[in-house]
Parts: sequence; C-alpha cells; structure tokens
Amino acid sequence: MKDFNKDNFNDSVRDKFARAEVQPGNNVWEGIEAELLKQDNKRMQKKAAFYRNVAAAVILIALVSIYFNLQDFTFKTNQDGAFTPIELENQQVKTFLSNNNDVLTMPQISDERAGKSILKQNETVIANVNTQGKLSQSNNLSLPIADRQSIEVVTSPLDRDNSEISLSKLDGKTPAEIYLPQMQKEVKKVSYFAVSDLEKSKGKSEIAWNTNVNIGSGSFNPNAEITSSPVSSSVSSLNNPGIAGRTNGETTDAAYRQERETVEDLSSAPMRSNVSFTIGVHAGLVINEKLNIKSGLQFGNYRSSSNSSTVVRDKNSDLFYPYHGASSSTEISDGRVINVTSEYDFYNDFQILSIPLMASYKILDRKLDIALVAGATADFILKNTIRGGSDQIYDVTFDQNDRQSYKNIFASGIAGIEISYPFADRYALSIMPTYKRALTNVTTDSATFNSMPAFMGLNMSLAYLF
Amino acid sequence: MPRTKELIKGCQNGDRKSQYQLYQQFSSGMMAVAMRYSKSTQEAEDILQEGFIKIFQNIKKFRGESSIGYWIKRIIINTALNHQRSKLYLYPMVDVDELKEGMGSLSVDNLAVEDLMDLIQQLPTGCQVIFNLYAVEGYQHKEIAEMLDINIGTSKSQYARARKILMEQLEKQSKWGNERFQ
Repeated sequence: MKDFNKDNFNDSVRDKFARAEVQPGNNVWEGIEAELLKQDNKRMQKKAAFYRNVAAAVILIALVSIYFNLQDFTFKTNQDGAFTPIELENQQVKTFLSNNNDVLTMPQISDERAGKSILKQNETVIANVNTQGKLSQSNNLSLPIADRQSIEVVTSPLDRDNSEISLSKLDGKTPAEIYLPQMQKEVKKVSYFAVSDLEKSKGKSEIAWNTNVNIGSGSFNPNAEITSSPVSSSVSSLNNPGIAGRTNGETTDAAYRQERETVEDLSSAPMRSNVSFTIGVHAGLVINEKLNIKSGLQFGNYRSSSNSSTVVRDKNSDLFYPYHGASSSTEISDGRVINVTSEYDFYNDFQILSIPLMASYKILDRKLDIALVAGATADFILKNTIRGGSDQIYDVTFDQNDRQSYKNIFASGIAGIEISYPFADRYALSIMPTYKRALTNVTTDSATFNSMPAFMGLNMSLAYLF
Repeated sequence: MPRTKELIKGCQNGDRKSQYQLYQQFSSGMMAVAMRYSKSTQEAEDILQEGFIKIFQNIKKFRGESSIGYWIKRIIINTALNHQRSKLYLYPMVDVDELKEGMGSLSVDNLAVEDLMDLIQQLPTGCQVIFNLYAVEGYQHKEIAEMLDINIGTSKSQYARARKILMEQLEKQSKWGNERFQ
C-alpha cells in the first residue's frame, strides 16, 4: 500500500502554486468599488439620519418647551361659588356661635397653610394672601344658616379688621347665591415655569452689546433643477480610454445615441443635499428689549452630491477628472475631452465665508425667548472642490483665481426663528432653525446652467451680553 | 509605492486609494488561489470580488498577528469554501485503501502551472476542495474535517480520489504526448 505522505507530489504541487499569479479582469475591482461605494453611501445615510433625528429631537423639545411656556395658568377670583375644595385634614376646627345659637363651624387653617398652600394650588402668587385665604374659607362655609341677621364671622386676630364681614346682606339668599365682595386684587399671569418669583428685569432701553459663537449643520443644495446637459458626450470606457475613447463630436454614430442620451441624463442628474457644517462668530447691538441687530463672520463647508457617468479626460496625461452638468463646464479646454464612463458618485463641496447682517425681533419674552430673525449675507466662495467617488478620478479644486462656473461672491437672504434660554445673568443658549437662499443666480456667464443655492440648517449658539 | 503597513492603515481608515493599491498588490496571487477552488475564471472572479469586499470590511480587525498576505489568503479560501460548500457532498465516499492500491508515483515537474490548474479545475468539487486544502495549503485531514464539518475518513477518501483522477489525467496526457512525437 502506498503512503501518500512519503512521495514528493504535494511538495511539487505546492511549489508550482507558490508564486502562481493570474491577472483578474478589470471588472473585479469595479465590482468591489461599487459595493464599497454602496456601503459608504449607506453609512453616510445612517449618519445623515442620525443628525436628522437629533435635529428633529431638538426641535421637538424646543416646541414642547414653547408650548408649555405659552400655557398661562391664571388664578380667577371666585365668581361662581364653585371654589375648589381645600384639603382640610388635620386642621383645627373652631366653633363660632351666632347670637341666635346657630352653630357655624369654621376650619381654622393656619396662617402658613391659608397663605401659601391654598393659593399655590393654581400655580399663582397673590398678594394679601391672608385675606384671600379667609375668603376661601368663608365661601366654603355654605352652611344652613337659619338666621343671619347678626352673624359675625370671627377671623384670625391677625387681621381682624380686614376680615370681619357682615352677613346681614345675605338674608334670603340661597347658599349658592352667597358671594363675598369681590376683592380688587391684582392677579398676575405667570408662566408654567414660574414657580417662584421670576419677574424679569425689563425696561432696558439703552443700547447694549452682545456677542455669540455658533455652530450649525444642515443640508445644502447648490442646484436642484439641472435639467439638461451642457454638452453632448462621447463614448468611452473608464478603464480603457485609449481604445474606446472618442472626443466630443468625433462620433455621430447612431449606435451610441441611446447610450449618450442616458449618459447625458446621468451627467445632469440633480444634486442631492449632504450634511453641511457651519461655524461662526457674531457681535450685536441690543437696540431695545425686542430688537437686536447683529453681524459677524460665518464659515461653512457646504456639501452636495450626485451621480455622473461622464469624466473629463486629459488626453496628454490620460488622467480623469469628474464631470457633471452642474459642476463646471469651463474646465473643458484644449487637450481635454468628455468621455462616457460607468456611473460614479460625484461630490461638489463648497467652502463659503459669509458676512451676515441680521435683525431679530423678540416675539416672546419668557423663560424661553423666541425671536424672528431675518437678514442678508454676503457670501464669498473660497474653494469649490469637485470629487469623483473613485480612485481613478482625480479631484478638481477651484479657488478664486480659477475659471469656474460659480461666481466668487453672491448675496443671500436668511430667515429663521431663534429660541433662546438665558441661563445666567449674561449668558444664553439658543438654537435657530434657518433657511438661507441665494438672492440671484450664482453662476458665471460662461456656465451653462443656473444655480440658486439653498441651505436649511440648525444653528446652536452661546451668547454673552456685555 | 507606500509600505504595506501604511496601506493597511489607509484601508482601515476607508481610504479608497489605499484599498486599490492593496488590491493591486494581492489580486493576482489571490486570483490564482480562487482559480484552484473554482471551475471557471468567472467563478474565480466572483470569489475574488466577494473575498476582497470582506477583506475591506474586516480589515479593521486585522491586528498584524500574521502577515497580511496570509490573512488575505485565509479570507479568499474561506470565501471559496463558502461558494463550494453546497456542492461538497454530491460525491459518494469511496474506500481509501481501495484507491491506494495500484497507484504509482505522480510527477508534475514537467507540467506547466496553467495545465496543472486546468487539471485541478476538472476535479469533482469535493475532491478539488480537499486536494487544495491538503496538498497545496498543507492542512491536515483533521483540520479539513473540522473546517468542512465532515468525517476525517471523507477527507482522506476525497483526497485519494483526487490523486487517482489526477494520475489518470497525467497518464492520458503522457500517452497523448508520446503518440504525437512518434
């Protein structure tokens, strides 16, 4: 019987394959990359969903807070005799006798309880609480009184003068009709949050300074409505441009027409908003209690994405650059042609420095302040980077000196609602959902599309009042 | 060309360029591995693609306890095994002793690697996988039995069967070669 382990067959086979190499097809990497891109996109979507949920939660909390802040609980004087019963357990009861021996029992509530506990039941604070307390007691006394001619209600010796009430006028009235004289006491409206003396110091009319730093995030869309491709594309292969690549206009073969149309659709696919990030510093003038004007600097990294199936190919270096109907047509020059490729993700990032001038008008001045904000910004495009989601496609970065599709400066309008929470004498935290949109077309004359970027975001800021 | 360590770091950070370079560095060798476990180039490319996706998904778990090449090869082999697993039990077990009887020595010294690859691809799936694992990768039958959840005897019999088929094929080729030159 032969022992397989004793011959050198396995070693020979192992040696044969030790350095064996077989070149896989190009489509393998494309498949891997497509799958990795899909996973990246999923991850991005998860991140975006997370930020959206956080923003939604913040807004929800803010709205709930505003709702409760707007709920005023007003203490009403007792006009209809239906006074809320008072818990009288463990209270001393005193008996009072009228001159005709009717017995009138009156719960004697201690000053503390009469003054505070009773009146706090509606979350309100009322001056001259002793009197109010006794009124409530008296009203609860709707007892069968046979002869009220000379009844004298004996009240606490502390304020006897105020509390003595002659009941002679009550003769002939049913208990439900018995009203005590309406007290002309001031009833103050106090918010839900006002469980203590929360009267704000108001009346500042002099001009004051404030400053804040803010951070924000949101979605940016440079152009949602690109509907046509600026150039007709030609047919090529991303991985093998030398063989199949044709320059723009060199082929009119009908066989490519359908593909070209598809490609033109893809290369002009609408931009999608990605999560963007802003940071800024503002200084402002407090004109009066309600009006505030502020300005400052705001830096934003605004991001968007789309799909494309065209690239710009540099015929000299054979390098690919991303191309999209909404990116930049001016980059096509001598020696550069548009080639059709497999579909890839396309990213259009802007770095924009903004100088805003905003006015805010306070519409609610409570524990949480709410102000309407509106203004305009001057926006400077510092950098526009266009990236293709593939290692084979090189980034294109424009700065202010390059030819590009977008103007270097444009103006935008901004509006928002600022919800502030002053947490100390001079500090306040605020969140502000904002909507910002360019006031005019921001592309240059050489661009073949129009663009009015819009940004919807949520700013959070910390303010300091000087 | 960045060093492998830097490539691994880049891949762990999800850098596409590093991923592409790592792929370029290992794809040819791994394609040869995938070819040995598959019946066609198309199938091998599927295995390679799936394997590299797993590699990039899991490269954060690579701690450098073995070489990156060995780690990548293990993933490619596991991917190939998953591909073939459903086909592994289609062939009946044969008696190993019966197969061993009368087998002569095998020599592949004069055979080109491509021809040997062709012969291995023509083996029945079960034989092919076990031959690769035992003869080429150097696993023991016990390890193979654990990997494929089969008996040790099955592993041995499939290996013996593979050798028998290969010997027959080599003899055929040898006869055919001799006839051509006569």
